[in-house]
Amino acid sequence: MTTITGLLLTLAVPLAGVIWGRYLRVNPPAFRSGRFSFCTKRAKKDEEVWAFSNHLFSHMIMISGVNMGVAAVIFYFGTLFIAGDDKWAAASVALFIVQALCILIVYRITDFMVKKIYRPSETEEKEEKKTAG
Amino acid sequence: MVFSSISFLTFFLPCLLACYFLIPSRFRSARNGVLLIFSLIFYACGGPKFLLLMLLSIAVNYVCGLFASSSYGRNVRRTAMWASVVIGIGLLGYFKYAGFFAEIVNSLGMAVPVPEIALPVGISFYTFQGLSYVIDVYRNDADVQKNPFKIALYISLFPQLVAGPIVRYTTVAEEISSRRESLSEISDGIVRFIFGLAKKMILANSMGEVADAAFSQNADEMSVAFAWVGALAYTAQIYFDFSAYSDMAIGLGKIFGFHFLENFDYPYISKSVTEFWRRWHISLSTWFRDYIYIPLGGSYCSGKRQIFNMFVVWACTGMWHGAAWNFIFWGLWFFVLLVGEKYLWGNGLSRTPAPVQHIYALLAAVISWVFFRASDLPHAFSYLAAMFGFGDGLWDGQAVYYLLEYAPEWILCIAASMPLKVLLQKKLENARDKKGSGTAAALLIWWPKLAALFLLIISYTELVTGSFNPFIYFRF
Repeated sequence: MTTITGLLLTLAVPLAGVIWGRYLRVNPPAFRSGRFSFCTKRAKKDEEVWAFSNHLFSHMIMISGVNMGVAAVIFYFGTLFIAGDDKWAAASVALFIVQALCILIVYRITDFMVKKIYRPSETEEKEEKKTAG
Repeated sequence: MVFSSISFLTFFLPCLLACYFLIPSRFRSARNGVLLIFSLIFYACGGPKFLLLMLLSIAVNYVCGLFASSSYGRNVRRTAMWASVVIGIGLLGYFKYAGFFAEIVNSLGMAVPVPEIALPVGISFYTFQGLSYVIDVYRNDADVQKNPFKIALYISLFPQLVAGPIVRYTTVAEEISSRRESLSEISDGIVRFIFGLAKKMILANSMGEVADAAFSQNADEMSVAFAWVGALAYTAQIYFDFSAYSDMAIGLGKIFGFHFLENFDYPYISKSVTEFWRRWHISLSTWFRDYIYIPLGGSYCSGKRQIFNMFVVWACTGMWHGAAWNFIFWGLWFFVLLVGEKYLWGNGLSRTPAPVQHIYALLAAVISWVFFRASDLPHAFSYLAAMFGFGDGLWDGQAVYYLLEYAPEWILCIAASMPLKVLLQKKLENARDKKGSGTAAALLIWWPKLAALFLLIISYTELVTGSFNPFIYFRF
């Protein structure tokens, strides 16, 4: 029973990622709205960027969810067999944290890719730096 | 004596209200006299022998305040100000930190007897209030008060005497001499007091039971879930306990015509640690900002100097809370996070989705409270280890029990940590002003009073049936 709880914890973030991505794919969020949309400052620039960034993010998050899920199962059972029973709780919590950070990294990578594709003009870039400063 | 006790609610407060309001309002000095006498009695109830210490503190601050005023020369003023600082901090240091420093010296190999000194109630609060008065007079930010009874009333005013908020002299200087008590203010004050009482009796005490169960257990035998349940329960307990006391103090102040500044502004909805400290114990953080951080140079200096200034402030904040390593570590934990936010991850954090920012700030707070609640530093670390899976398993029956048994309290805690009251108030005001709704207007007036009445009944029931449970901040 406890082993199943550990497995569920390690699969929670990957599953959430896949569900989130699938949800965005099936229900593309309306411009500058939507509870679970990819809603960065850059994505809100215009409708085209909004649609593209949400589509890209849904794709990225689903792929990373699947990959993380596979990696989590391998890592989890690996920990159980190699390190033994007493380490699995710590391993699952650590895995959970790493996966949550991975989701954040995917979010940032998507934002970076949108920036690369829809390169802002020089004045926009200056303004962006100003607001960041 | 605590506000949430039968003796205070059924004897002390009614007696004070009767004596105070029987005197016509034109006799301001007599009303102040009644308030001063009752404040001294209130303090004496917590330990009569420490009353002398408080009177000494009042006398020192009064005399130093006189000599720190602009009618004296620069050197005299400076000497008076420093005398107040040295005596105030010296007394605080002796009563609060003597044992701690003796233990440090002993750990270095020397044999110094460790003094066992009882901590006077509220010494950290009234010392800081007294210091703020003298420093403000020295800086010409406040007028000197020549009437010793008014200074005595300012320092010993019972609503905020033992657990804050730290009231600046400039906030109440006018009101000590001339204030107007009105029926609507008294009514607002009573409502605020009852809301505070309910927070303490219904939420803080219940969460305290969960936190006590978790923190009294051996951390090596705890599951991850139970360790988190305990840490979250303490996170809720400390907020509702302390903000309850502040609510009660502000409410009592209003009844007597004083307007204290807010001490909390929904800290758990913060998106960063910096924001958290703008919302948590506002009177203490502004005190440290104005009297330590800014005099050290504040933000108008080099990066290294800024980091040093922040280090001093946060080490002092930790020390102020208690003479133990876990409090110092608690202060330094916030120092690291605040420096990190200022120079490293602050910009990146602001670009992440709002829920991530909320989770980050809340997580930082939860971890900090583990240091705060643990009996010592090793206990804090072993408890944190249990939270991250180095205890006994992920999930157990205790976690389920404390989640289900206290489910209504958990839900109420989550609801009360968010500004739902403010939102409701705004919606009702909109409905009244834009749609001219009579129901909204009536609700706006009556809902706080009806809610207070309902909460008073529940709180009284809890008070009669419950055991003695003092406020956490009493020990500071």
